[in-house]
Amino acid sequence: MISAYWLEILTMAGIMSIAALGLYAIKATGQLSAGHAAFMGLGGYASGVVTGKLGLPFFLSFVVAVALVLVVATAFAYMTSRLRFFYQAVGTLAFGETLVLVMYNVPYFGGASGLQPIPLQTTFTLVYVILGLSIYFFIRFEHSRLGQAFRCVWEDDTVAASMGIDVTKTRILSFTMGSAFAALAGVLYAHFLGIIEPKDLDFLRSLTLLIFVAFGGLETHWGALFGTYVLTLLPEVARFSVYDRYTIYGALIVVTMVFRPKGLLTRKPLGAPDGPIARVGMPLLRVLAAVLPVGRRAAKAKARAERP
Amino acid sequence: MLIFAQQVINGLMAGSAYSLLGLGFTLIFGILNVINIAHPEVFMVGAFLGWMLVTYANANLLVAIVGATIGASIVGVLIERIAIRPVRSALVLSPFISTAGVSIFLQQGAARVFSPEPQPYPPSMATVFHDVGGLQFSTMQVISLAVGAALMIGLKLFVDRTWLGRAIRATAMDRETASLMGVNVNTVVALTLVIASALAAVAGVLVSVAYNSTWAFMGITYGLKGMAVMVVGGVGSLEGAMAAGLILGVAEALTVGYISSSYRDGIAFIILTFILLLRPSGLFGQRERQR
Repeated sequence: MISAYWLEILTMAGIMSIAALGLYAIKATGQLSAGHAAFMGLGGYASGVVTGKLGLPFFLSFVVAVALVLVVATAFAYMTSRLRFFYQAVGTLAFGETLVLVMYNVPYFGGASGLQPIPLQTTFTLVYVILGLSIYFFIRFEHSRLGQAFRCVWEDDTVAASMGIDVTKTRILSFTMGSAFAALAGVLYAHFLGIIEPKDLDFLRSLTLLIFVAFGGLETHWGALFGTYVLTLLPEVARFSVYDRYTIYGALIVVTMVFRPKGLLTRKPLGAPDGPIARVGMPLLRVLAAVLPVGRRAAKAKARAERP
Repeated sequence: MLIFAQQVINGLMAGSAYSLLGLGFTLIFGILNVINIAHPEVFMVGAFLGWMLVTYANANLLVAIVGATIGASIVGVLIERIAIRPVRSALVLSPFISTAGVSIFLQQGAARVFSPEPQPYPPSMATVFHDVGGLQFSTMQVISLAVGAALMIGLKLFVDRTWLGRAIRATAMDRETASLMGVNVNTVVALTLVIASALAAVAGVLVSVAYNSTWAFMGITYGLKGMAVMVVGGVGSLEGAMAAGLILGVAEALTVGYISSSYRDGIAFIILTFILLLRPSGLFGQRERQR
C-alpha cells in the first residue's frame, strides 16, 4: 500500500493536473494565460466561503465556484478579447495580481493569513474520479467539432475564420472552459489543504502551471498531464537539499525547452511513420546526433560542401 | 504639502529603478520579440555582484556598480545564447518558459550559494539622511536619481544619435531587412543584451544599497513591475518606459503616503489593467500590428 506521504503528493499532483488540463484548453486556441492560478484561487476562495464561512454542503461549493469563475472568466475574456499573445499574458498577469491584492486587503477573506478553516473534504478517490472524468472529456473533446475548431484557431486564425469559425467566440469559449477546470482544481485544492492564501493566486503559481504544460507538451492534453506528474514527482524523488533540487529543476526546464521547444510529448506530424520505434527511437536518435561529435562533424562538412 | 513633496521624492527614487528595468524589458522585446522572464534575475545577479564587491573586496559604490555591470552583462548575453536563441523560432510560449527556467535556476542558485535570507551591507555603506527645509532625503536617493537620469538620457542619445543605435532601431523594426542592409544582427542582439543587463545591474546595486538588503528573490516583485512599466509605457518605446517607471514610483509612494502601504505593490497592476483596457498600445506606443 502507498504511504500517507505519497498519497498526499499524488493527490496534489492530481489536483494540479486538473488545473494544467484547463490551461491546456486555453492554450489549445493559441492563447496564453499568465493568471491561471488566479482563476484556480478564485474558485478556491468561493468554495471556501461556501463551506467554511456559510457551512453549506461540499457539493454546493463546486456549483458556486464553477459558476462564479465561469461568469468572471467570460467577462474577462470578452473584455480582453482584442489582446493577443504577449499582451494577453500581461493582461492575465495584471488580473491575477489585482486579485491577490484584493484577497490580501479584504478582512472577510482572511487577509494575508488566508481563508481558513475550510473543512477537509477532498479525498484521493474524489480527485482521481474528477481527473478521470476530465481526461475522458478531453479525449472526446479533441475529436469533437469544437475541439477541431480550437485546433484550427491555434494553427491559423485566418484560415479558421475563412472556414466559418467565429474566432473571437472560440477563443472566449476556450478561455472560459479552461478557467472552469481551474475552478474545479481550486475547490479541490482549498478543501485538501483546509486553507487558501493570497499567494496561491500569484504569478509564480501561474508560471508553475505554464511550465507544467509547456514541459510536458503543448500539443496534446497528455502533455499537460505528463508534465505535471513529472515535475511534481521529480523533486520528491530527487533527494537533494531544497535549493539544489530547484536549481536542477530550473536547468532541466531550460534544457528541455532548448531540445524540445514544443515539450516532451508532441503530436505525430501528418504522414510521419507511427509505432513505438518512430515515436521513441527517432527523437532519441536525434538527441544522440546532437550530442555525439560524429554526426555534428559530418553535418558541418556537408554544410561546408554545400556552400557556394 | 510637505508630505506630498516628500512622497514625490521617494517615488522618483524608487521609480528610477522601475524605469531602468522596464527599459531593459522593452529593449529586449524590441529586438528579440521575446519576453525575457529571466531579466529581473540579471538585476538580482547585479545586486549580488555589487554586494560581494563591497563586502569581500571593500570596494566603493562606483567600483561595485562597474563590476556588477560587467558581470551582469556577461550573464545577460549568456541567457540569450543558451535559453533564447535556440528556441526563438519555435512557439511563442517556448522562450517564455525557457527563460522562466533560467529565472528559477538563478533564483534558487543564489539562494543556495548565498542564503535565502536578505543580506545586509557592511556599515560603511550606511545611508546618510539630509534635511533640507523639512524634506528628508538620503545620499543614496540623490545618487539613484542622478545615475538613473544620466543613464536614461545617455541611452536615448545613444539609440537616437549613434550608428550602433541606428543598427538597434533597424533590427527592432525588421530583423531580416536590417540583416540585408549589412547590420550584423547577432552583434546587435548581444549589444542590446549588454545594455539591458547593464541597466538592470545598476538598478540592482542602487536598490539593494538603498534598502540595505540583497536578496535572492528580489527580482520577482521588481520584475513584475518592470513588465508592467514596459506595457504601460508602450512596448518598444524608450521614453514610455522611462516615464511610466517614474509615474509608477510616484503613484506607489503617494499610495503609501495617503492610502495604505498594503496597496503599494498592487498599484502597478491597477494602472496596467486600465492601460490595457483603454489604450493597449501604452502611453507612448504606436498602434501595433496585430501579432
